[in-house]
Amino acid sequence: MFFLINKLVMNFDAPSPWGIYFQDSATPQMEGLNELHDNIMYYLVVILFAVGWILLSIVINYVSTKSPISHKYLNHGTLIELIWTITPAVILILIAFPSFKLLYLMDEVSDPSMSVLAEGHQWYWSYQYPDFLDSNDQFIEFDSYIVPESDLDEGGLRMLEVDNRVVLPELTHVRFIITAGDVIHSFAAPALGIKCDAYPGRLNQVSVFINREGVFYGQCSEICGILHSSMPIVIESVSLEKFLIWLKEQ
Amino acid sequence: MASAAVAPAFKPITGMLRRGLILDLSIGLGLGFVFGNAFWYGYHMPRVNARDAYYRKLEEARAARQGN
Ligand SMILES: [Cu+2]
Repeated sequence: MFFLINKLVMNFDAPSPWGIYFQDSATPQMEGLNELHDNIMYYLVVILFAVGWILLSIVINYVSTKSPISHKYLNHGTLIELIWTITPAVILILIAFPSFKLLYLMDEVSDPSMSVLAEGHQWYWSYQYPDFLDSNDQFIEFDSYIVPESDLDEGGLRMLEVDNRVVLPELTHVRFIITAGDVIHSFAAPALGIKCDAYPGRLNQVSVFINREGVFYGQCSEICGILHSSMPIVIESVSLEKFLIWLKEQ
Repeated sequence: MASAAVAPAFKPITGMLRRGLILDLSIGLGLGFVFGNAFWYGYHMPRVNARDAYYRKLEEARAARQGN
């Protein structure tokens, strides 16, 4: 019942059973990734059918029982070899340009309004908000552990729910600074279009601009030990007012 | 040209490769563009339109809240 309500009423930005496409995008970079994927998919379908048809045609028309001498003319052809070398090269270049453009656009960390430090551990994430102090004049800091299946609320997502979510304001440039305390982890949230390796002793950064409210689920994406699957990431995007209320509660 | 007097054992098959290639390429690319467009207009565009409509709705709700 609750599952149905979740499906119909609530918009979880989480994987869906048997899903084969992207989750709904929530950031400009994920929209860009979506667009790039669909563009490439278009070329891919055209190529798939063109190559598939010609393969089929060759198999049917040049089968040895049907045309015993035809291979005589098919040993070598400079022109056709030039064509089938240059055409794919041109297509690859056509794909590479928008791909590089998007890659460098996503790398840009443009003037963030706030930063969040995410640190991967075996096996949980810990977060720090270095721009805000709590009631004890300390940086806001917390650990984020998975909610085990036995403790899940009804409708909760198995292996995805955490006890403390990362709360962020919507429509704000946020920078994630990503590192790890022990082994390599990877901080990823598909709906936000971010995936960034977390290395011990190294700081990586990604920027997000979440353009709607929502709860975005992700998982550690670099195999990091036996409970690699049990350190999910939950990012809750709220309005600025709600974010300020949340800050005050810390 | 002694061989000219001999009747050819096979009918000449020149031109078949080119004709077949053009025909096959046209069919292959034609099929490709049909299915490519089916994906683009049948799947991609509805998704983009739904997304844009959703954000338009959000924007209107936001504007209405700020107007009050
Ligand atoms: Cu990990």
